[in-house]
Amino acid sequence: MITQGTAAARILAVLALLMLACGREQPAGGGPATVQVTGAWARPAKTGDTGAVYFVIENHGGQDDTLTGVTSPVAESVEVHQSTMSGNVAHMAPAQSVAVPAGKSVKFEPGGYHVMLVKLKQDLVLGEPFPVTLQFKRSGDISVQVAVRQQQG
Amino acid sequence: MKRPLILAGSATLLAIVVAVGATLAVLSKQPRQIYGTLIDDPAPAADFSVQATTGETVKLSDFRGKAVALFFGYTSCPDVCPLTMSTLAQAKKKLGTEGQDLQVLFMTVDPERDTPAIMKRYVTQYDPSFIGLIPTETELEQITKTYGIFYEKEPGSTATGYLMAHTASTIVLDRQGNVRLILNPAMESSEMASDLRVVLE
Repeated sequence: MITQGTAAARILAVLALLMLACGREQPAGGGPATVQVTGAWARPAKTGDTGAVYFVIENHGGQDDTLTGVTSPVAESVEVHQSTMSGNVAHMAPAQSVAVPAGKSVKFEPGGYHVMLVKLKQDLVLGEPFPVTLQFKRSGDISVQVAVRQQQG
Repeated sequence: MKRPLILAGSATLLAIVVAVGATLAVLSKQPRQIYGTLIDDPAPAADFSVQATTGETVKLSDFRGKAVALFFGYTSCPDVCPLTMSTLAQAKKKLGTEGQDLQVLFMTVDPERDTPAIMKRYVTQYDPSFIGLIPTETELEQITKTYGIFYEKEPGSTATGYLMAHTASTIVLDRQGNVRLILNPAMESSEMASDLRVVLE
């Protein structure tokens, strides 16, 4: 009886794994999120100052994901913030997490969501990229290189 | 044989000149598109005197003869302030030689943390000609009240310390020192340059 039970459990486990594997191949059918981070950039900034990183998060998967944090070796502290305007007044508030719904993209851009680099440990120099790691609830850590350039437009 | 050809050529040339002239006349009569807010009834800007990153005390009226773009912000502001400073720097470049007649002034609404040294490093990274203004708390209170600028401390994190909410409009004075134009942070540098050209005319 015990042996049979264990065998049954094993079969169930294998079946479960197979189902997961199937899910992975069918992102539209509710599989894990497939998150991509593109176009990361920051303006040049000086050591000790504050910097901002912008990018686009695209969720090509079938499941919602959430950005829960960002890290980078270039700053003492890294926070996700959102600028908002009420009339002509600019407000800024830390965002604990940012939802990235399935099939949608979320833009981090000037005047909106941005990653705040608090007290830079090094200069952000034009043409010298630096790394950041975005932490997602479902997709885990995604590291990207941030281009240092002047803002366009 | 040659004469009729020359005559025909001259007639064509004349027609072109007339057409171009007419087009220009029509274009110049059309009101120029303004992307910010142009003030129809410009009033003289209230003068003030504050410490500047040039190492001396400056008066706003010292800049008469140039157009002045006055922005209120703080250096630990990562988003809206760099956005505006970068856009103004690009607009100044787009103005070409006319840009030399534009003076950008960045007044801190956070004199508690923004020392003259920090301010100088901050403003000059956008354009070496930009000047930072460091008022005392009392001066700041008075100036912002006169110009209708709002600023207030807002809670931040342990790392950032407090944040500042602040009016993010740029006030533009014409060469005579009248408040003439208001720019907003969502504008592109080409739009700012186009508006500034109107003020510099």
